[in-house]
Amino acid sequence: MPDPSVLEVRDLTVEVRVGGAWLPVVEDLSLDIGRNEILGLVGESGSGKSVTALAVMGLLPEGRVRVARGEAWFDGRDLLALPARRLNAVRGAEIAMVFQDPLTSLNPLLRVGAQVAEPLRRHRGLSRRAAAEEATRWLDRVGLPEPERLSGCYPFELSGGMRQRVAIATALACGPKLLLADEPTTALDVTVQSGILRLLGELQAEGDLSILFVSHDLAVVAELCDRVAVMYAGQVVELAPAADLFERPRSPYAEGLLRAMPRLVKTPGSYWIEGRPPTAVDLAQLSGCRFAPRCDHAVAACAEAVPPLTATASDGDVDRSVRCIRADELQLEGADG
Amino acid sequence: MTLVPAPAEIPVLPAAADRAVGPVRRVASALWRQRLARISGAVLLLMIVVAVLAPLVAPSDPLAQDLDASLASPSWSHPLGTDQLGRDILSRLIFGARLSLGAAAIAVAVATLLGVLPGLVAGYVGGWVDAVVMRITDALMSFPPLILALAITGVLGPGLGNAMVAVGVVFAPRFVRLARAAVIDIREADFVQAARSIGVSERAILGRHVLPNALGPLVVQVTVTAGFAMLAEASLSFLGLGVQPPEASWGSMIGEAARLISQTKLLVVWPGLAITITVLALGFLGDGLRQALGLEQGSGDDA
Amino acid sequence: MSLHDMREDAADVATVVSLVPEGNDGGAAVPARPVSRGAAAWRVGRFVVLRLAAAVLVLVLVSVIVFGLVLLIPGDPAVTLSGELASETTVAATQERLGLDEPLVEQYLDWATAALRGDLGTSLRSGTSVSDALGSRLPATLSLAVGGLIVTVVLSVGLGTLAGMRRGTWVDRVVTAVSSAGIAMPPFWVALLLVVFVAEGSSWFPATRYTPATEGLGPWFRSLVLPSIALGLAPAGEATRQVRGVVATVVDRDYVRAARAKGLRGRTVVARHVLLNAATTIVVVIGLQATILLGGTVLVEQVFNFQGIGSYAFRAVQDRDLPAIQAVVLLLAVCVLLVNLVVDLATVVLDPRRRAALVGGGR
Repeated sequence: MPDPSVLEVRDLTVEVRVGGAWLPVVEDLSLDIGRNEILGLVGESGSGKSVTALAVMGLLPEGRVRVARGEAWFDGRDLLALPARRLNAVRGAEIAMVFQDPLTSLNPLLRVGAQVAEPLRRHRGLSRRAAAEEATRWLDRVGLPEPERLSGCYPFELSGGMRQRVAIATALACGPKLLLADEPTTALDVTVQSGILRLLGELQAEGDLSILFVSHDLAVVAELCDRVAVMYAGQVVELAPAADLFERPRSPYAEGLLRAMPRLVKTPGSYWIEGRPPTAVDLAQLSGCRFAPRCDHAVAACAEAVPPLTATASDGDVDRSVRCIRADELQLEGADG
Repeated sequence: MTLVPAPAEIPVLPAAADRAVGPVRRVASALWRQRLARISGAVLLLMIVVAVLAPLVAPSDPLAQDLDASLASPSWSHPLGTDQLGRDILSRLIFGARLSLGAAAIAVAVATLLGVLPGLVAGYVGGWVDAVVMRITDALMSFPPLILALAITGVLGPGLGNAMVAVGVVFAPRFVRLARAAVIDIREADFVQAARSIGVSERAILGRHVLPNALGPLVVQVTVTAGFAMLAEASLSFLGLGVQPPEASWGSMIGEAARLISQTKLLVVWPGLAITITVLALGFLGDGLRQALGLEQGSGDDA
Repeated sequence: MSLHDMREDAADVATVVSLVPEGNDGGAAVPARPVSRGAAAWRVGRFVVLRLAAAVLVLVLVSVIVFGLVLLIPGDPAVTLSGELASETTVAATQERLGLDEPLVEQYLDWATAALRGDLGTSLRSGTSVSDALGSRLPATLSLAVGGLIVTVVLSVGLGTLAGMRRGTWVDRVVTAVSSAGIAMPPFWVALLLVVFVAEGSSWFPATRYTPATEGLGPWFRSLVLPSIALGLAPAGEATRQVRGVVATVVDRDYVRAARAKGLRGRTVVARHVLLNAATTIVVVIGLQATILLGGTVLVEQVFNFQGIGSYAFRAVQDRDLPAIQAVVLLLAVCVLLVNLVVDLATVVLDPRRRAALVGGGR
């Protein structure tokens, strides 16, 4: 009996305004995150993965982007239908978000301790002193040295890795059940990345926390996530446990991504997927599978209609789904052969 | 979110036909597309035409006094009524346009002439010449514009000519900075170095590269300054230091009306409206030009 | 260089480097504050002195320009200033009083040194000390200028923030239209309209005369309301446009989005995250309007019959009272320079990054 989901997104469609028309960048997206689960959301730039996370949080830029339809069920409430005031009470307290660039996502003019304390004062009503103490405790918990002194520092005085830890502390300060992490390690040095990933893993294991980890980096996702959803051109094309996905992908796109991953051991000839992902404008003219133009395994039938996301027939009781009409017949290669 | 280039950034490639058209036409058509700028341009054009054709357009002679009809209400022969000396207000407004618009234009011309040359030299030559020019400019900009104009007019003596010179001097520093910035912007650009290295003369560089670069911001600045110059002239004339009676500009008309405030309230309104509309139009036109030229959205004067 | 100095330099470098952190991890040390109190104070002091020196240089140039006004006088200055009906003796007296027969440089130095002592000459018209006259008129103009400033700040920050946060909506368009109108309306016309259509209709706001605070705070305040509006409207319009611009830029920044993600209330986001980061620019914007505010006092004081510096300036010009003209122009320019200096220093003080760069880092 699977745990009840922390977040259940159903048929989310997000549109962006191009010229006079509204074109979809995320289409009929459904996914769910279980309790204490880390779900990776992987895709190239422009696949719509960040948009998905922002849409759930209600942070899409007004006027240019909008949620056309869909639901995001969290704790019995549809976040996409909540009035602003109620959503605001949920944000920061029950769902939190960490962004890609810690330099720009921290207020440059406020001390770090104050920024961690902000959600505590807002949602828990703590006094300034109590919030400051709790904030310092959190700074310690995310592995920052000399937390009391550090809380008096400004963001520009800290390194990138330290800032991101501050951002994580800020997000988790009120003990949310769900953390949306939008490429939290992308802007950091490789040496720093693993520290952050380790931190996230630890924090998640300690408490009652689920994470939606958005990234374009498969290697990072492999390290941290329990399950992975692969996105392409605004749709989920594969959903599988991380280990299974890496061992044997079922969609040609996932296979392509795995093969394109840079390896430590040099294999003869590097690989990349030909072509580029379709833009929203391209999509309007595309019918059928969106990856078909770049797919090594495409057949005529692929261009007829967009394949639905279906559970795979084989693989016994492992919970997987694929958006490919040839999924069952293809024998695709995973990472490490 | 990069599935689509952010809508604002989608480059509007000019159609093949457009691309062949000169830069002036391109800017003009970009300007035309903005409704507010279009309306403003039309209004200004109308005002200029009316001013130029004043004798033909005005219903009466602005100087003709009719003491029996003093301070009359609007009527068919006097659409806006008459002033204390029985002169037709509408006609006075129309003839006043000549002075108000003309004075503003001349003041801006003075400012441009006084400012652009030192600015170009300062930016081009650099060194201590630049430093001196900039210090002087800074000093001039430390005076409240109206105070300086007042002082210069006061010293030169009242009169529209002196007032225009004063206003021109007051606004010259802005043009100095503009010209200097344009030169510096281009002076060290790669393609200019390249041109120099193949032996293109300095004068040609100035003419073919520097000046066109300055032209866009210059046009915007001229438009915006025209509005401020108009307000400055109106202020001086209101105080009696600009236009001298019996001539009248809109500013001096307000001044006269102010003295009669106890007898008639509406007299003050018309010339002020005229000034406001003109300056508004100039401002919107300036905004439109800025947009059409793709310049930064800083407004008015950048210190 | 002593060991102490070298250590300090090294520490400075370390601090500067830590300002551009790359590749440091959570294991990195908290940046220390290695610069000693003494060194920090010295750096701040040096910065202030440099700024002051630059301002003084401009001030000297300003004084030269103000003095140079005498050169613009058409014809023989003594004759022109004495008036058309003056007799020969009057002209000679004028010449004597203004020291017009001395060489120019001496004239300048006499005038400048006197001004530094606070002696701004004697009025040609009334024969009294200009400094005294200006001093007695200062409260009126100061009250008016501050009133205009308040109007400017309240309107520009309020409307500018509103428009900047709702860019592209009808609110934005209305604010833009209103602020453009404010700029376009001549201040003296606004003043007249207020007098005619507001003051005369009600007993609440007096139409004329400045009521000093000594006669009661209530009357003083009421005598300032309408003139302050007339004075502050145009600067408010200009400042609103610029505030709108900077707010619109800041609102798009990542940390504002992050603040919303924290579930902070709207007004917290606006105050602590948007306005705080726009503050420095807003201070600069408003500082730029100081010069317009000061100039406008001439017009507003005329209409509202204030006995202030502005109306004094006008009368001086009418009378061609050269010493008085020069004194007022100098005084007001000094005010503008002071405001610019304060704004300059404030921008450093308000931003911790600039503070740190100033104190801790080498140039």
